[in-house]
Amino acid sequence: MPTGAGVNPVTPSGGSANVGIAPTDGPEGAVGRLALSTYQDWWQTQVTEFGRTDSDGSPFETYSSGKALGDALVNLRQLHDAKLVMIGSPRNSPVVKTVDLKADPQTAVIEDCLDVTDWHQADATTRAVKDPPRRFTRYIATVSLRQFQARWLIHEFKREVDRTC
Amino acid sequence: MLKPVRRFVIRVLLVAGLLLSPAAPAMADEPPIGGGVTHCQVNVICEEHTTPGGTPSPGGGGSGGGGSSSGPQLCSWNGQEWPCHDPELGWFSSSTGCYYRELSPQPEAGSPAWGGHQPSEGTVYAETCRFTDGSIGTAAPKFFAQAPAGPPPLNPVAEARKIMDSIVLPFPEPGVAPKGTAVVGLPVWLWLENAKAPAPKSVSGGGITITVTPHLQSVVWDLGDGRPETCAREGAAAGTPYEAKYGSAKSPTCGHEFTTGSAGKPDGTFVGSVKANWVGVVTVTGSTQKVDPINVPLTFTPLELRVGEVQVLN
Repeated sequence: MPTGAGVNPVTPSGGSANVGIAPTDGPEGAVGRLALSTYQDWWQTQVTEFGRTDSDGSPFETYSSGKALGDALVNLRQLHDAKLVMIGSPRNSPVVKTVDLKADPQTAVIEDCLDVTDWHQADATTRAVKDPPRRFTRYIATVSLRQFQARWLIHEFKREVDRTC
Repeated sequence: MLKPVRRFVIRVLLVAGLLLSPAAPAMADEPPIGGGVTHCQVNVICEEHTTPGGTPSPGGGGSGGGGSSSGPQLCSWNGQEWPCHDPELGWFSSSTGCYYRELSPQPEAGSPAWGGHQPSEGTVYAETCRFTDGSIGTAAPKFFAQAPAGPPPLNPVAEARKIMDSIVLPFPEPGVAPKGTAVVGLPVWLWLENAKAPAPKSVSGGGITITVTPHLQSVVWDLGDGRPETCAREGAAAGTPYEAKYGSAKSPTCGHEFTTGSAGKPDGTFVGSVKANWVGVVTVTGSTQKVDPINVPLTFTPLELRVGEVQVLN
């Protein structure tokens, strides 16, 4: 299953994710793989930019819009306010759930098993881990993507923290 | 009005709390930052510490742009002061208590974010509002005929993105040889028909000049057989168009060899895509500020290829 060159892969332990995936062949499969590679590039960008103290979040605009972009910018702002960066990286295991080639613009939905265990808030200077008391470990996320001209953009990233994987 | 009273009560309680607990112990094994526990800052790894504070309502008692003798300019809203400009969130409006950042790229005409307006009538902004408890939250992007906050000075990062948005990049038009049916084990040539980089564009103001030079960095070919090719040779990422004189040679810049035929696939066809990774290289003169390159991946689907198992004799 192609997962693109984003963050490291994780193997879901339960059966709650990855059920009912979109066709991997044909036009749907081709679009699904593009959506997946956009999604993984978006994560790679988040890992890079959240690890910097001098990012203004502009690279997020390459891969996201709407609420997904707004949330990423707020996360970055809050890290800077608290003089923190993110260190390490998450692991994930995204699969394409649906692809709608007839929609205008075309859309895709990805379901991911996100493991954030090894991704930490840390002091921007000392790099000491400064995680909050209540942390997530693994959860399912549902991600909506839309085509914008010849680009794919993450539109919404919905955490479903009550669903483990 | 009920809301201002409630906000006042919250503020009083916060102050009282500070007075009553001057030496609250820090969490075990958790060195305090600024005297408190570390909060959740990134909502994909933890639960936000946002306390419901209500959305700020327009006209909530802003007193216009303030200013301090040193440090960033501050704007006041609802009795508190916030930086008038925030690199992530944009410009603060003292009348709404929200920050506004121009969306880049702007939504397509007809998108709900335009609220029925034409793109020529104004601009769509990302809106991020400060709540009374200091937390922040996002709302849906909004249309404004006039900038709701600002005006921003020439900001090289934002300006560079605007320039990049204004450059018309060629959509990827894939060329593949052989045109009809490819054959397992024989070279396939891959190239883009229209990959000429548009001319660089510049904007000047306030003694600085920002130039964005578009350039095709790499092209990713998903051929539908599970073995994608990335063509990224300096100056030749677009590949080389095939001509009859090349005979059965391999492409010097961008090619593929199928190891399986497409007969077992739906309609006997591999379906893939092409992604042209354009990059805007940004140079700033008259300022020491460096601006990262701007990535713009453009995609083409479906790329349909028929691949035969056996070599056909001509």
